[in-house]
Amino acid sequence: MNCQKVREQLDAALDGRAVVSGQTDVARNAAVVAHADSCPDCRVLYDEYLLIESALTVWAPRRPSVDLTDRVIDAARREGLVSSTVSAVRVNAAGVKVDGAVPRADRLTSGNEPVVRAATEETPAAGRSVWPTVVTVALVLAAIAIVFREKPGSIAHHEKTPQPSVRDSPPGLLDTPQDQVADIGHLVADAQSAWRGITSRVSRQASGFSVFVPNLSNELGIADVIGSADDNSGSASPGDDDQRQETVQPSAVDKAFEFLFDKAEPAGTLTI
Amino acid sequence: MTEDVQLVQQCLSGDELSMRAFLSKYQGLVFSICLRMLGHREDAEDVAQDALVRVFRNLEKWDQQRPIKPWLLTITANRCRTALEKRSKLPSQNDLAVDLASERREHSRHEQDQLDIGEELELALGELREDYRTCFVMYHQEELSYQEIGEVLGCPQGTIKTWLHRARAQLAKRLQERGVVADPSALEAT
Repeated sequence: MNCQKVREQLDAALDGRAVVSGQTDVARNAAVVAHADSCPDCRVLYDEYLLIESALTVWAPRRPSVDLTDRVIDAARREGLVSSTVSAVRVNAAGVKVDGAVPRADRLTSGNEPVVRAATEETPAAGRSVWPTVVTVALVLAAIAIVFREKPGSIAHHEKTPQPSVRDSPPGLLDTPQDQVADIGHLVADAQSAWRGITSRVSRQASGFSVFVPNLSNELGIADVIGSADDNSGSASPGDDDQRQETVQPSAVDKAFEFLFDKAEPAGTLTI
Repeated sequence: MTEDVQLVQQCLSGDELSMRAFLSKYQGLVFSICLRMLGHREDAEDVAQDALVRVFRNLEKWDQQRPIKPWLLTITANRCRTALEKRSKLPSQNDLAVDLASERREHSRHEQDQLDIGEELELALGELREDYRTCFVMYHQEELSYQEIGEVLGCPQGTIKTWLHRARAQLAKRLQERGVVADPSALEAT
């Protein structure tokens, strides 16, 4: 065997590893070994062959981290390349169930990831955050309603013009439209009476401090209520109302009432 | 190849399961080439992701009469070249050495002994020219033919043969310089 033949055989052996490791086995080919022993140049080539072949046998391929598949699928999904989705719960390479896309940082820290919610899923806290506010507002409104509720025996109750109560009517009398209109009218009258009772009670309590604070009633914008509450006239005329609004500046109490009773008109100017 | 055609058609319809099957079949190949060309694991993963998304985006352009591997790797090699241009630095063997060190800790002592020569090969590969290294990996690890490597790298088969021969020679020389000797028992075991 000459040098050319040996080099061709060594190259061919490296070209097809199955040949080396299986059938031909250049390393144990007596002719090649004999030539290499006698030829220093071919000996160098033969040693190189042995070295490369030996390294290739233990050369492990490098593989990507587990999450490369998920990263590619997520990127493809963002580009609209994925039309169907597999089950929300899938199993990763480690055999652990994974719910939706997993943040990369989490995946890099551990090979056995816990179940992680999808990044796009709404957090439970976001859904619940409205309810405490709603409940608080409802409680405040209920407290306000209790404080300002008309009580039996109050001033407004005594001042109220006796009206026949619809509830005293025998059953069957409210069946006609006229009766229903009358019922609504009674309800409106009740509301007006309640409003006058509230304002007159506040004005009387305020008048007790008028010794210390002159014109306190005017400051509170309820001076007119005292008179109007006594005459049981119901509501003030629009002309009078305009006149009052020119002379009495809106106070903090006015604003508070306006806020609490949904922008109701100032005390004494209630019109329905 | 028929299997690939069927898989690709399902991927083209956007079926996620098929896309995952495609990835499990080819992402190792793509990543391996990225790692050899870039020499850095995290960069390789990023570029592999980019390349694979491009593959999905352009799957309809693949000629189904031809094998898919060279087409896949052509896209991959192009993305790697672009990344190398952006990075404007050559792959460092230090990055590979860090990867090797972390991998080594995961193996038992016996396996470490067997890995020694493999690690040396990795280090020697890191010192090779990029086209020699890519050629060597495509041939010996991914088992592509001369023709397929030529298609990927845009070179004639003769050039690929030459590069492969030089790659082996330089690797062997570097291994010998490091005092690595062949393990005949390993060859006999195969």
